[in-house]
Parts: sequence; structure tokens; C-alpha cells
Amino acid sequence: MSIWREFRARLRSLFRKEELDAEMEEEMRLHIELRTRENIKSGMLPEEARYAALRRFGPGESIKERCRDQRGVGMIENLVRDLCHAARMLRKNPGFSAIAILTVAFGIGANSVVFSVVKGVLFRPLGFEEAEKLIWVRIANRETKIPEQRLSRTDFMDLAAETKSFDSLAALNATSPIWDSGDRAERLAALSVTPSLAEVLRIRPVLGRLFVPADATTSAERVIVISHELWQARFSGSPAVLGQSMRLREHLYTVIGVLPAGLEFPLGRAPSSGNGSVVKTGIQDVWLPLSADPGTERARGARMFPVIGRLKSGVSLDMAKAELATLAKRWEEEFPETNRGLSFEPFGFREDVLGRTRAGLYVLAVAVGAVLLICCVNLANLLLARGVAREREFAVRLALGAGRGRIVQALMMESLLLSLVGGALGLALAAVAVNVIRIQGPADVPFLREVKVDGLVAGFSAALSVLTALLFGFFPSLWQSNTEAGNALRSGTRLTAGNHIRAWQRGLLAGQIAVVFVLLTAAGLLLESFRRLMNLDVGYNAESVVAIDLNVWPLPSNDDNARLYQAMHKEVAALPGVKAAGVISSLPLTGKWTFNEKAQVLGHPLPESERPSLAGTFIAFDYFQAMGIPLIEGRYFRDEEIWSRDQVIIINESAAAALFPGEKTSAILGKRFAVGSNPERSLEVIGVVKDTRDVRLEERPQARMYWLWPSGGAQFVVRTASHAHAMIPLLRDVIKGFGPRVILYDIKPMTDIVSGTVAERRFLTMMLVAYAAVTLGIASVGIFGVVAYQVAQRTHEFGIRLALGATFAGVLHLVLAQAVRITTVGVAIGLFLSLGSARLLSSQLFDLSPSDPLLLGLMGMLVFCAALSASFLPALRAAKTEPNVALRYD
Amino acid sequence: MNTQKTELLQGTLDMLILKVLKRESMHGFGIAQTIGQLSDDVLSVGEGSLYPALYRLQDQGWIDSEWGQSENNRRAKYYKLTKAGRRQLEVENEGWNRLCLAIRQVMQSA
Repeated sequence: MSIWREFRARLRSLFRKEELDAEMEEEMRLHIELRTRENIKSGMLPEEARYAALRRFGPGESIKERCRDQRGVGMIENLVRDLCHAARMLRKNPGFSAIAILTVAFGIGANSVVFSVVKGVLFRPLGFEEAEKLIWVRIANRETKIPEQRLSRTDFMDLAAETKSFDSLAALNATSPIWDSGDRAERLAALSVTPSLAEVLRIRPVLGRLFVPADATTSAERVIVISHELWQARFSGSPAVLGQSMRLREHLYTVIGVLPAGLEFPLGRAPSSGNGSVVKTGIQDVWLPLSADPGTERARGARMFPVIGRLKSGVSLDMAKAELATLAKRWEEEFPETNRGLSFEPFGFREDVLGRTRAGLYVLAVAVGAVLLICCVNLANLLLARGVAREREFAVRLALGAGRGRIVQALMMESLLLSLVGGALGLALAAVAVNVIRIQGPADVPFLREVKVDGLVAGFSAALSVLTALLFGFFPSLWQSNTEAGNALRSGTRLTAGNHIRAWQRGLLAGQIAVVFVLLTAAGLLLESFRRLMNLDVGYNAESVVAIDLNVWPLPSNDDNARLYQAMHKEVAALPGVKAAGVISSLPLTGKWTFNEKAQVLGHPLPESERPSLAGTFIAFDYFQAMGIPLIEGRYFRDEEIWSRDQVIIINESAAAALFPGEKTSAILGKRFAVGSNPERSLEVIGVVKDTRDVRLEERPQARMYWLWPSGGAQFVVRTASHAHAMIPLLRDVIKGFGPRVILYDIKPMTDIVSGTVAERRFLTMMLVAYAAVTLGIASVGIFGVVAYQVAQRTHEFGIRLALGATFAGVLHLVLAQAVRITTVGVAIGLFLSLGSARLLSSQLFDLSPSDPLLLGLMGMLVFCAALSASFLPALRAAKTEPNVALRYD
Repeated sequence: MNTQKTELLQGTLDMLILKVLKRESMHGFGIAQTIGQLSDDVLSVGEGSLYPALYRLQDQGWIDSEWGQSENNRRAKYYKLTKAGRRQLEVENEGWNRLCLAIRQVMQSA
């Protein structure tokens, strides 16, 4: 039979069942008629002949059924019939169906959300050819253990000349030049890059050309490459843009090319760069050539450029690591002054983009896996309970000749229907949740804004639905199909679950409680970590503080700059409602530029490697008062000191401890030290202030020194008497009043900056807390369902007990004691699992051990409370059993 | 007429049907008759069970059916062997021969 004919035959047997049945009927009738005729010929009476023929033919209906099965559509027909039956069964028990469908919907919804996020964030293509070969080169300092993301130009050139691991290497530097386009001035996000960057990233211009080495020489004409986006928005995508000039800073640059559309580099959390701002990630407005500047940049120790390279094919990360280590060792010997203790290390581009996010997402993925598991267990339990009630139905079906396989199939159909409906609902929930996450999620998780529910997510949900159905449907159905028809029918209506079923249910409940406990502990640990982090004494008080990020057009001299800042400070500080105002080069937690210098106390010469390293920040005016950083000893700067050439400095407690170990802070005042870049001039310590957490809230305070200077690219910090938000419009007006010389980038409450740095942690914590809470809810419903069911099954038993003199409290105790036993086992297993999986979570914790006994105890209590309250109503019902009614109960 | 009847070995019915249909196409009753006659009624086909077998063979594509006129002008469904059926008959025939040989060896050795 050709495939086409076979297909037609199958279609026919599916849709033209009556016709086929009629044909079969006719065929068999003919057979019997012919046989009857044969029999008559051999001498039988007509009646007798017909009976003999029928006898010889066998049981007609059964044979017809067997024939239908052979038609190849028996299975499909049965499936359709089972599906209809399943739909009827679900409609008949709306309560059960609703709980089951919602449970599946939640389990699958939660998993789809996390799958969307994981797929969109961790598995998003980075947009570069062979992105796995892109490697950042970093410096690891063996002494300070502080990874340094920047290399000096000399480092870079030596590396590019010597390395055999990289096809190409590029150095870059973020700048934010101001573009004077005639009618207005605006800040651009720019990268200064070596011409090799295009080769490293393997990109080609859509128009014109990219940089060539000649563009990077000091004598070259100033050229610029613009982004596709800027080209479209500001040059209306016209090819005539080539050759036009753009005025950046004080120079004119000629546009020579346009970058490809959607080019996002750097990505994610890019390294902060040396010029005072974090590299803005994502699409850059322009690229400038990183010119080979003579002078200080030449110095080997001036490390300010992130360096990225493309590995040669066939070179692994480990091989590159080995080569870099060898080179670093050689340079360490050759240039001990600048390279002591430094080694160079490769760091994967993808790892850099996603590294920190990954651990958190894995925690979430494990958590939602647990949620789904709970849902499956819950459903299996509900189905088991319901299966006992339907034992008679299956017994009847078995007695009527249904095969075991058919019953399993019918039950699986019910599970499948539940799962698919639940899955569809879950997907809808996930779509809503993903939208909320996209809008409300933390800004610093890379690519979170692009996460969406797409076909792949839908497919994942569908597959998960089927898997769920298999998981929670298969075992109960297997057990139910095993019913002994005779026993079930004989035992009348008062059916009780066998011991093995009760054991199963108890085991499943205990397992469920274990998983709930693990989730609750994880959520509790994260929540407590978050609380501790928020209550941490960070050294400053962000409440009621407004942070203003601004820049000024460079003025002829530094003193002119300072005078402009002083004028601004004077106006801001005079505003009603302003308590104090100050200037700082780098606000805490913004990751902006600070520099590190080795310090040496006068009269205590130490070899360079033993000198303490101090982070430096420029401040002016009442910065400490505005930020609320307490003075421990000495005094603050005086404004007139800005103009005097006195070298005075304020240090924090850590710096005091590092510079003058063992000395009292009061004894430190007046002492002098010098820093590496300027060993001739010594600095007098005039004050010691409290330590502050400047890099990340989680990180210990650095040793820090504060210089007095209102530098360019500064931030104003304003302490207000009332609410920070209320002051923002007024402050904005004052700054604007200084005209186009001052460019206002951003103005917001300091508390926004603080909460921004913990946004990702908050996101993870909230997700996990939400999952844990709902899981506890689902598990409670499950416990309630199973206990209530078992109580109903034992009504007769309780009646007898009460009739024989058991007390109300006795029966209550009987039921609750069982719940307590199961919960104890569950919590014990959960404790074991929690401690076993502690390592997964520990990276996300702050100031808290994953085996914190108080927290584990609290969560255990919570689980007990939930389990007891879920079993209390059924227990009450058991204890209130009327013996008269129960004993008559059939 | 031989009164001692032998039960058909499992699976051999298919082979017998294919064998009978090799000569000419037939309706169900004809197949049952032919098997009976050819074996001097030793092999009795439980006539009902013939039909599920026919449907199965047809589903597997070894036989095909069409409606035609029977000897006494009744509408009857005629089964005929397909090409695949012819090949299948050879396969089964060979298998059968091997089985017979094996059984004979066992019976003779004992």
C-alpha cells in the first residue's frame, strides 16, 4: 500500500467509522450465511445450521472489537474517548480540578519565568563573532589581592609585542566628551580605542572606514567614528556625514566612518576606566582614536586602560594564562619598581558580563525546580487520595474487561489534561510576571530589559507540562490499575486506603515538607542577609542627601575652575533647607574613579612592597558634614586652604591603622607622610574620619585619604533639612542658573544610589521569598488535603474509638501527632539537604552563615506551624465525629 | 473426515492466510473454507478470529481488499496479496521451515 493510500485509509477509519463498521458487519453476515448454506448442504435443518454457523464463528461483538483495534486507529480513538472522559471527570470535581490546575499553573509559571530570564540573560548571544575567544587582560596584585582591571599603555604595548596567544589586542578608555553642535552642548558616551579594537571585535563599518594605526599618531588629523544610532538620529542617516566635523572639547574632529547598528560594547558590567567615569556599557555614541600620548601616559605604572584581546584559534584560556604568567614574571624582574607582585591574567569576556549574575540565577533555577517538584508531589498525593475514592470505578472497569494498560492510559489522560490546562495558565502568568520583571527588575543585571516569553519558552512550558503529568500521574495510575477487582467490589462502599498507600502519602508529604524547608531556609537566609546589609553602618548617612553629578567646561586655569565650584557651593549652601553642601570627585558606591597611591610615613622608610596603599579622593567644602561622615579626631578642611599651598590631608580610620599601626588617633595628628607619585612633598594629617563603604556595600572599607581640591568632573552632595526629593527642583534651577558652562548630568537622592547597588540582591531575595511563600502555601494545601482525606476514610474508626470512650482531646491528639511525626521527618531531611547545599547559597549571603542555627530553628518552627494549622481543621472534624452517625456511616 | 483437530500455532494463521491468498483473491469465508479443505479439516480456523487477522494483515499492508461479486451474486469483500505480502510470505515460509527442522531434530534426538 502506498503511503498516500495508507494515509487515506487511516483518515477514513478515523472519520468514517460508521461506514467501516457497516462494511465489517456485512462481511461477517455473508460469512455466516455462506456457512449456514454449507451446513444445510451437509444435511442440517435450517435453524440448526444457522446456530452451528454462529457457534463456529465465535463471539461476534468481541471479534468486531478486535477487528476495530486492528484498524490502526483504535489507539487514537481510545485517546480521544479518554480525553473526553477526563474532561468530564475534571468538570465533575471542580474543587479538585481548580486546586490541581492552579498548582500546575504556579509550578510551570514559576519555571517559565526563570527559564525566560536564564535564557535571555545567560544564553543571550553577545553579538560578536566567536565571542568566547574575547578575553580581558587583568592585573592581579599578589599582595593586595585587589584585581586591577586596567593596564598602562606601556604594559599594553609590551604585551602586544610579545604575546603569542592573542591574534590581536586592544586598549580602550571611556570618556564622556561634550559635543558642541552649535546650538547646544551635550555629553556623549565615547570610547577612546586603539585601531586594533575593530579587529579584536571583528566588526566592519557600515559607512566609511574605521581607524588605522596612522590615525593614532599624535601628528594625525583628528578623526572620529560615530555609532549607527547617532548617525540615524542626528545626521538622518545621510552618507554625507563623512567628512563633516564635530567639535568635541576644544577640538574639531572629522567623521570618517559609521559603526554597525546595535553594536554594544562593552557589555554588562564593564571595567571602570581611568578618567573619572565608569565605562558606559552598551551602545557608545562615538569612538575616538586612543592616541599615543607622550608624557605621563608612557609610565609603566600609570595603569588606566582596560585591555581586551582575541585568542588565536587553538589557544585555550589556560594556555593564555600560562603565557601571561611567564611574561609577567619576566617584567617583574625587569621592572621591580612598577611591577612587583603583579601578574597578568586573562578573564573571559562572557564571564565578565555574566559572572556575578550567574550564581544568583542558578540559585533561582534550583529554587523553581524545587517548586515544581512540590507541585508534582502535591498533585500525586491528591490523585492518590482521589484514586482511593474511585477504587470502585476501576474495579468495575477491570471486571468488565478493561486491560490494565487502558486504565493507566485513561488516568494518564486526566493528568495530562490537568497539566496542559495548568501549563497554559502558567504560561500566561509567566508572561505577566516577565513583563513586571522587565520593567521593575534591577538595572544592573545585563540584558534583563530584553527578556521575553517567546516560542522557545512556550515550548519549554509545554514540555514541562507533559513531564509534570508523567511525574505526578504515572505512579498513582499504576497503583490504581493494580486494584483487585474482586476485593474492591466485595468490600462494599466503605473503602479504606491500604497501608501501603498511606505509607506512600506520608512519604510524599515528608518529602514535600523537606523541600519547603530548604526553600524557606534559603529565602530566610537571603532576607536576613539583605536586612543586615541595609542596617549596616556604612560610615555615612544617605538619608536626606541629594547627589548632583555635573561637569564644567574646562576653564583656562585650575584656580578658575575652583572659583566656579566655590561660587556654586556658595549659592547652594545658602538655599533655605540646605544644611551642608560639599564636593567630591567620586561619590561612594558609584564606582567612579579613585586613584591608589603607596604611602610612606616620614621617618619610617619602608621598602616599596611593604608600603600601605591608600585610595585617594578629592573633596572640597563641607563634604563630610553633608554626607554625615563623623570626624574621629582633629578637624575638617578650611575653605581658604584651597588657595594656600599647604599640604594638608584627612585620612580614614583604616588608613590611620595602616600608616601608623598601634598609635592612638590623637597622636597621629600633625604627622606627615608622602605618596608615591610625589615623594618630595609630605602631607600633614589634620583629621581622621570614620571608615566608609565606598566600593560595594558588601566590601570592607578601604584605607582612604581625602585631598582638598574641587576638581573637574565632580559631584555635589547636599544635605537637606527635610526630604531629598523635595529639594531637587530647586537645586536643579540653581545649577542651571550657572548657564551652559555647567553641564548637569544627573540629580537624585543618595538613597537611590545606595538602593541601586543592592537592586540585584533585592531582586533575587524577593523572587526567592515569593517562591518560598507560595510553596509553603501549596504544601499546606497538600497537607490539608491528605489529612482531611485520611480523616474521612477513618470516620468509622474514630466513631468506634469515641464510642469506646476515647476523648475529644484524645482523637485530636491522634490526628495531630501523626502530622507532627511526618513534619519532623520532613524537617530533618530538609535540614540535611539545607546543610548539604549551603555552598550554593553562600556566595549570595552577607555576614551570615548558611547554617545559622537561629534561622534554621525559626524556619523549622514556621514549617511546624504551617503543618499543624493545615491539619487542625481535619483533626477537629475527626474529634467531633458523632459515634452514632459514624457507625451507621456506610 | 478427520475428527481430531489441531490448534493452530500462534502466528501461523497469518502465514496460512497469505499462502492461500497467493493463488487467488478470496473473501473471508473462502479463506476459512480453503484452509479447512487443504488440511483435510485438521486445521480448524476459529472462523471469527480470521477477521481480526485479516484486518491486521491489511493494516500492515500485506493484503489489500476490494468489494466484488460473490459466486451467488452477493456483494463480498475480496482480499488479495500485495507485493509486500508476497515478500512477507517468503519470510514466514522460511522461518516456518527452520522451526519445523528444529522441532524435528529435537523430537528425533529424544
